[in-house]
Amino acid sequence: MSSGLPPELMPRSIPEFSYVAPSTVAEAISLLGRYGSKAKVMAGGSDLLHLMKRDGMPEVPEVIVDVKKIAEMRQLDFEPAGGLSMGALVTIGDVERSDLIAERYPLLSQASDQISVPQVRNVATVGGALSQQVWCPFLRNALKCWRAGGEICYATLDGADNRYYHSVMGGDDCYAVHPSDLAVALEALDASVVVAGPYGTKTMRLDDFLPGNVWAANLLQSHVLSPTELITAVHVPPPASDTRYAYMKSRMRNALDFAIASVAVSLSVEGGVVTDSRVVFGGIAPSPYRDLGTQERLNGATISATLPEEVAGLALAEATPLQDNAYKVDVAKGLLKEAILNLSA
Amino acid sequence: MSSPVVGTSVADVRGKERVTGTAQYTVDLSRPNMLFGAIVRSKYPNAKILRIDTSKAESLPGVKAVITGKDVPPISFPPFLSYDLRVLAGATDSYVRFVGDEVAAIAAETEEVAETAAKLVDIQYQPLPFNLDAETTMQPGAPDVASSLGFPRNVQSAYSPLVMTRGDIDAGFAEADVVFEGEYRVPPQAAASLRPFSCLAEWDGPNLTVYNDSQVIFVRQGELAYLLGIPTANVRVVSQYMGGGFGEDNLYRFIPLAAILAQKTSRPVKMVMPQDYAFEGSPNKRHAASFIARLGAKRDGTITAMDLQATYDKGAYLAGGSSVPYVGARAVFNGYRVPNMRYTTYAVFTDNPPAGAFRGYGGVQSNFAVQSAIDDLAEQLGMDPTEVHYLNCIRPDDVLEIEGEQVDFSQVGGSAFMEAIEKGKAATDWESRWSPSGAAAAAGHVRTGLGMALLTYGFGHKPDTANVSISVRPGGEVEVLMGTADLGGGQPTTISMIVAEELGARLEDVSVSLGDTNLPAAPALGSFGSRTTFITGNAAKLAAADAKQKLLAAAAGMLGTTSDQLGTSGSKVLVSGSSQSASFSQVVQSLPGGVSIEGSGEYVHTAQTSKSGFQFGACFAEVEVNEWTGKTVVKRLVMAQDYGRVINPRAAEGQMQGAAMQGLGYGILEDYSVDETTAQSTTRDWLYYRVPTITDVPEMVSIPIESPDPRGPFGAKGAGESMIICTHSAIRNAVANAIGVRFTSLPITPQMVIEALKANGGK
Repeated sequence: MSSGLPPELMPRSIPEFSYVAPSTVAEAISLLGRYGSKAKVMAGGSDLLHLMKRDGMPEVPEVIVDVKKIAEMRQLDFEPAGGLSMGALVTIGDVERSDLIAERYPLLSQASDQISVPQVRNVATVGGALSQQVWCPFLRNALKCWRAGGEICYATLDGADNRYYHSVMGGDDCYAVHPSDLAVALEALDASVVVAGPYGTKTMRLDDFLPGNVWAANLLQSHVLSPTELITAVHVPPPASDTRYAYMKSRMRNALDFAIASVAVSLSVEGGVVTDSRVVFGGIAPSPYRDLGTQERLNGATISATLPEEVAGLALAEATPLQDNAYKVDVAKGLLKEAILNLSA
Repeated sequence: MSSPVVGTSVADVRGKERVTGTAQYTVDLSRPNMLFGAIVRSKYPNAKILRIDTSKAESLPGVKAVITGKDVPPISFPPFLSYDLRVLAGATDSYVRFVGDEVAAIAAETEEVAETAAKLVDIQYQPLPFNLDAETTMQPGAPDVASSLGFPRNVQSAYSPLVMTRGDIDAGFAEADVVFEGEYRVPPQAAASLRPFSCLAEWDGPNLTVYNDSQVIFVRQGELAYLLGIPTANVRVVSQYMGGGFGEDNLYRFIPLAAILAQKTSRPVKMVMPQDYAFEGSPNKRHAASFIARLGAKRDGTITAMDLQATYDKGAYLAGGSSVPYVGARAVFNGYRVPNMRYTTYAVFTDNPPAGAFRGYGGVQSNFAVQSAIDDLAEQLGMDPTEVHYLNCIRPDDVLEIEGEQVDFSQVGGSAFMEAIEKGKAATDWESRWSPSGAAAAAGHVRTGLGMALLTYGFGHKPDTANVSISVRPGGEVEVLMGTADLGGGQPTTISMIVAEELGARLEDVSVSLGDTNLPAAPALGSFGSRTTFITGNAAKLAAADAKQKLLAAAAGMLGTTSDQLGTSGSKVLVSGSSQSASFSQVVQSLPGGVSIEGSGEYVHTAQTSKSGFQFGACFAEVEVNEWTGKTVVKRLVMAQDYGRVINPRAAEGQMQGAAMQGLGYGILEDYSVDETTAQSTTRDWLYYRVPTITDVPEMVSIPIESPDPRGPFGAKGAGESMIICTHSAIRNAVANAIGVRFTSLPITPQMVIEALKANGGK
């Protein structure tokens, strides 16, 4: 199918594909059922089009199912009892600019504000953030690794440049880190994901949805979606009272960059004592990394000047860095220290 | 009387069409019947081409031509630029020598067909061992990269080693109280222009026209004539708007390839390179380089000996910039009054893409070695580094030997180093804020540091003759013709201002035509190396003076007085001591059959002037280094820079700021990475090759220092390279001040900071 653009305006290097744009979830599921693995879902397109241009897929999709016209996936609702419901098409920019979210879920605002650049935030979606491909420079520069139909992880070869975007917490064939900031913040808020499929819909915990490395149709992916499924919404439970939040991210430049490491921390404090906490690291593992050990050390602890060092010093002891990325563990611990320091003030 | 033009801030005369989108960049051009080109590139850094099968590509509907090495002239680019690079690999042998080496080219009806055809060209390679590191290339037993090019070893003979000396280096070390030795290295850097590289080639009978955003239209014209074996007069090169002009306009194979394909198909051919070409394969990244620096000094900080050994990685071909290492050497001699100096340069072949010209041209690399070494020496001496620089930098009336010639700095505007250091220190409150262990007394994991570095750059290198002609038209318009292109740094604005000032015209009456070899303007080398203001500016001033004298003579007859009673202002001729005046328009119309008044100016930029133009400056950087995350943030840059008399302060400040940001990127962000196994770059786009974003830009304070060069137009000097020479060094020294770690390579990454602090037993 031709796009009808004059030749000089045609996008470069994108092979031909057909394009369908369903207007309901049911229609989308029916199309996905028909095309199966020949189809790819597109929302904002910031991930998919990059992969297609940079030869980052084993084969280009024959059909693009553009879900942007599905109005029921655009809702953003809050109920005091039920919490926040974000349609999968809500953009990162919507999250960043929402007063409702800023007031009740500041962690999401903080994380969104640190994603990429405004142009990308205005097209990239919540659903896309959770279902995107990794941004490993080898994969995105056409080197055929596990995720592109090859049988190798270039990041683990001797002398490979694995300094920025590869796991310090081990891998399962693939060592790329999950790139999403939003997923890290959502995991710290105990979010769940609504998935539609031929069977109807189901709700899953985010950590079950995003385990890291999953084999599907002979390829590795980060999430558990099958080609016939679609993420339609994300639910976040009502915010707890007396809880403070911090999202810290360190990256090379201050925009248009992925995390070297990030951390989302929620801390409930009563009378100077931590009553509950969640600590999730980003940018260091194939999925958002919930640090239960650190949570245990925090819970019941008294806020003090030495608490950040005490807690962060013991965090991530189980790390298994690659040749050149051990410093990412230090960065992650440093961010945890900064987060606890800020939240203790 | 109207106020002077020179010295006031003026908006770029071609700014409006740029920001409103009416400017036609090369990539915007289109022709009916136009074909699109695509290029097949090597994925191997070193390989023998065993077989090329183009049949599948040729049989694809819409493909009009496929060419390989056997279809291009078996000669290299002109010796001025290179003596080994052919238009396609395989033209005279069967080797590819870098990832991105051009092997075949296609012309087709659409861009998609051309790109698809490029994928269908079937090439069988025999991969060969490769070497991406310049220093290992020099070791015995390394793969002999260059032997098939006819060079004795991997070291380029013409410049290896190039040795420059002053005084007696051994005597200098003998009288030293302390000797400091350090090793430093800098990575490649991509200019990362926003434009896609592009050209449009069309033939009309024997005549070729090429549209290309080129800094060097006459060089390009000569290059195409030479490669195609046609008279220079048959080649026209047009360059109207640059989408980036940082020197990377050199040795593009896609331009002659477009011309050859257009000739073969008898149709216009447009070539647009993909964005990743700017990061991989383009022959014009900054040379990676490594240095061994030895300094001998007295206890009081007086440097008695400075000895540097430099190794520049030329990549796979001697493409362009064979003088890059040479200019890097000169930049050191142009900076310090040290009596005994030696600089030894090796330029070495590797299997990397060819390196070439890029803003700062050799000086950026050597600056890092010298400015780091002096900072490190100051620490060893227990001195404030500004004092060591102040003691040893060239002074306004110094007479110093540079390449065997005595340069009297008092005759070229004097050195502005001391003033730059004084003003930079004042603006950073250096005396009260700086201490050997950082700038802020407060403890904490975010450390603040102050650092500085000096810059010197010899502007306008290479002799040339510039011609400018001026017509004052019957309507009063002042039309200026010049033989170079608009580099994007405000050249037409600067030239317009010089003409307006000298002629007494209103700036809005002046227009400039340039960027076309068919204009009746004499050829000139082009716009590079901070040369246009000085060289073309001098010719423009002479042309304006010539036109003014003719205007006054004509007006004298008309107004019934003599020339010496007349002056000009606001596009009018004024009579001294009278309210009588005549507009330029009236004067021209009064002439019998008066079409226009013509003025012309020629400025000869001699071998002597081309080696004695100097910019001087100092960059002071304030950084914060987070010891927990390893991240360096540049908070403030104070830039004290001598441009001589400043023609357009706004443009000069723009040059300073833009150059500083490229330097900041080089210092802490731009981390060009090549996978050692595959030799493929993994930093081939804007995401992974991190140029600074607006959020990375610090507060910038510009302090112009006016140390006029009496030979420049109104005392002006070149302004283009400026802060790119030293910003990365200033940042490095500020980081050293903040955390006590003296890094010897760039960019300074969080990994380096964290690992160094751990190694120091730190936090």
